[in-house]
Amino acid sequence: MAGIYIHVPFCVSKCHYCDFFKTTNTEMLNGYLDALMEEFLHRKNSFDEKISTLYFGGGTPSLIPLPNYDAIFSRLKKLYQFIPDAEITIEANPDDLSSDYLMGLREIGFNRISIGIQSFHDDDLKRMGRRHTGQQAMQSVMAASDAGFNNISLDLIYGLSWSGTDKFVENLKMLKDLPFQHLSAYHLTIEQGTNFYKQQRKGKLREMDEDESLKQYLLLCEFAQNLGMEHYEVSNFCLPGYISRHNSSYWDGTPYIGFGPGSHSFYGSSRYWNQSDLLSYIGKKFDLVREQELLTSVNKFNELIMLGLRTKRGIDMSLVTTYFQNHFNAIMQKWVDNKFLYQEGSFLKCSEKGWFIVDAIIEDFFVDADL
Amino acid sequence: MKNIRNFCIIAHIDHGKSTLADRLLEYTNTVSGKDLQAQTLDSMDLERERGITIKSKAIQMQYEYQSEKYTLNLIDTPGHVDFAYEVSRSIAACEGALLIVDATQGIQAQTISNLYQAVDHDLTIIPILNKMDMPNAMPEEVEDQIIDLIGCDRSEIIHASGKTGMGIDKILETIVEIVPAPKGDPEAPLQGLIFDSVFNSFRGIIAYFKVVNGSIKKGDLVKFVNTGKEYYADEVGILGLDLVPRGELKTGDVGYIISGIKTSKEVKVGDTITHVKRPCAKAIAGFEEVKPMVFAGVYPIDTEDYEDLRASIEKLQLNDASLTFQPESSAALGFGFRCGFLGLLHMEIVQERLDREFDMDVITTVPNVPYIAYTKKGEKIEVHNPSGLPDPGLIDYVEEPYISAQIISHSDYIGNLMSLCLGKRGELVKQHYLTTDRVELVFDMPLAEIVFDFYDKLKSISKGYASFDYHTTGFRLSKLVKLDILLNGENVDALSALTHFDNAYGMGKRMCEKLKELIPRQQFDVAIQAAIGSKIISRETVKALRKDVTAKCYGGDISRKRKLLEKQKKGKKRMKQVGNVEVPQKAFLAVLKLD
Repeated sequence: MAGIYIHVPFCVSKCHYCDFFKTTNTEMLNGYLDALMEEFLHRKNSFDEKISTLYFGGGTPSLIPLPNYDAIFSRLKKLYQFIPDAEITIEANPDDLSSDYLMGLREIGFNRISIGIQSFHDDDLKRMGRRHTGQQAMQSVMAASDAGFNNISLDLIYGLSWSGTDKFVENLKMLKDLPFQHLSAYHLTIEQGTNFYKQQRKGKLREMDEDESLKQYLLLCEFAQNLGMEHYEVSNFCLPGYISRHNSSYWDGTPYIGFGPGSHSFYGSSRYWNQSDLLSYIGKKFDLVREQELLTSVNKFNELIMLGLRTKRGIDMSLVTTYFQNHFNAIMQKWVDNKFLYQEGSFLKCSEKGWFIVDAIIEDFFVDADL
Repeated sequence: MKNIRNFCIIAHIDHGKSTLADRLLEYTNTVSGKDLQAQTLDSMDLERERGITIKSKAIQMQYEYQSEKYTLNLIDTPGHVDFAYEVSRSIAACEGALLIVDATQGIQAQTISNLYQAVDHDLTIIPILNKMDMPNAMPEEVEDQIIDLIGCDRSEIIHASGKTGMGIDKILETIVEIVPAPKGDPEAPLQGLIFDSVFNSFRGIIAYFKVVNGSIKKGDLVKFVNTGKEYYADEVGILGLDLVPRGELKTGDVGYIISGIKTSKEVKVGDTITHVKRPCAKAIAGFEEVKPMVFAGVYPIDTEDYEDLRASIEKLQLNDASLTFQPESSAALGFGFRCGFLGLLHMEIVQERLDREFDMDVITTVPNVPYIAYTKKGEKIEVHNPSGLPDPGLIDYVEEPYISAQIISHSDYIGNLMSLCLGKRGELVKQHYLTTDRVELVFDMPLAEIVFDFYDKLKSISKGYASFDYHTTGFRLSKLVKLDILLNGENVDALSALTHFDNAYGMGKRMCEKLKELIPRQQFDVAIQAAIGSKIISRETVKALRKDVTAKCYGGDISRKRKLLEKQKKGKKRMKQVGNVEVPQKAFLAVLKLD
């Protein structure tokens, strides 16, 4: 089993927090689509596993017209063997989701949609550079449901320093009445290269106070629990049976292949990625833009820790090789004693408070990559 | 002998001593222009970078004047207070001194103290105004200072420039004319004054000395009077650009001796060389055992490097006899050494040489001066580190070393300098105007006060202009306490310090504040406390880590995130575990600079 990820690097406007590879130059969309169709052929021999998930991420995949999706699907189905109940996801912006477009997506074969709500407060949306309103966000979710999507994921951002916890609680209340099965709630991170980063450097934006961050996080966890949702990854919650299978493949070692500029792949013992270079991509210089990282046993151990601890499933300790066993046990003991980690069967897991400092825990487990 | 001139140079750092010396060597064809590495005498990289001379050196020049051939021996002296004793021995080997003063800056503190030494040894002083090519030279004003200081005639002051070569011929002529030839007795028993030594990995220790009386031949059996050790003079010679072997050195000559000595400890600056068969009646006066005045723990950052560190320090000691060391251990830092240094600069130099020449990463702990503790039982105990201080209940009293500190500055800064020195327990002894706007201040001060963040403050409050010099004057009663730092209740021995009671509160508070900045947040609150005995005098808390999480970690984030955490992990490799608290290496260093 394997996944396919397709990166759509186009946006109508840039959100202030976003550091994904994207451009607002939508004139290049046709050239990109042409190259994408070509890249499918170019990499068809990369691997021959059955495809269980297909994911269009961005950027804004909802900018691609339906006929192009038709063409992409027919080519992919010719080249790869999809399992019957493959999960097929599109990331979408609320203001792109007309009923017709949504119906079209369903007809083509999309069975999961991830909608970038972020907030229902218009002032917060504006502050983040989103181009939709809270009203549009609500309507888009209803419309997706009406179009027959019964696996709807919503994105929410919290930890907005300028916006109080009260407003965050209101967002959660608004969510409660909407038809959705999956929630990705991200604490705002001010990433280098973003508009927010510039604002922060000019002193116009600050990080939220940690105690308030933690408070919001715990409110979020409680909210999801009350809805019967499972907290299955640091930032992800779902109703039983609605885990994101595609995203889970990133964390459990399932191979995946990425298409499009800036997309990543993982198979064999390597990670590969296409450079974030749209012009070369459109010029179809696929091998030129491809980079590879062969994972050493230390890298693999570190990834096992990093990805394992982020998920509810935890670290499969049977995969810790003898060589790292002593180191692993020593570090584990320390964090278990402090109740940031706990053991269940042969898995080592983060507690909810552990998740909120998981980077520090991961780092503690890490082995020097030069060894 | 009548055609020998032995002279040294007295100058402040940056006043152009080394450049001027280079010109003398060029002019006398001792070195040709193309061989002249900038500042030939400063051969250590460190010396060139810092523009200071650390080791004394000597070089011989041949000079013809009025159809007579003269031998000029230039004995270069170190230019820093830490090396005052070495300076005094170099001066003792000379009959004349060039007093070089920067025409743009005027006389500085160190110039004066070295000048006094030269005058004490009856050296003939040749005053020189250097950097006369500079547009901001102020010859009249600086001449006034010189005249005031040595009482010479204005016409005796030579105007020179090491950069352009101006005045070089005049300097050489004056040396020949007014510096007296050495006065020794060629027939008397041998007396050679050792003024420096260097280590050569093939030949062992090479001692530099001046033949004060008598003569020495290759192969002679000689004795070093103060150490009592005997050697054969395997080789003697003079100091050109390289060593030049000679069959014999006569009275007045400056040269070297190689006698198979392996460690620098056997060659003490100031010692007297004499013949075993016909020894001199007594040693040359002025010999002192050099005593370290600053002690600090030196620990390898990686505990496995302990043996390498020992080997490195031993090698350093081969050509730096003033460095002392003793094994020491710390609960926080593992095994290391208690090293003794002449002063702070010496300490810095040793640290840098360990890093550059031996590639050793070390942590140096808070330095302290030597104290003498007298117990109620009447014992006298020298205390070199905080753990060496006896239990307060057993102590009768403690003494600490005092210095006479001399500061020369523009008079604008008097107020600042006064409050700095008085705040450092100084007592004003003398205030003297050198000119209308240059003032000399002399304080009696505890040495401990300048060991800990004094230089930096002095420089900053005087905008870099104040110059400073000191010499130790003896021990005085002190109210000494041991200040401890506790992390979550656990004493961190490597952060303990000996300090005067009056400073303990301020220092404890600042150390806690500094550590709060440097200790990263951990999974629990970290209490940082300063304590005297069981009494807590200051406290800070590093709050527990509440949030450290990356929101997204999908396919495209994994490599980048892993590399970022791997890099951070590497950065934290240099953490020391103290109890359950992780302390970065830099915390141990940063407490040395508290402001």
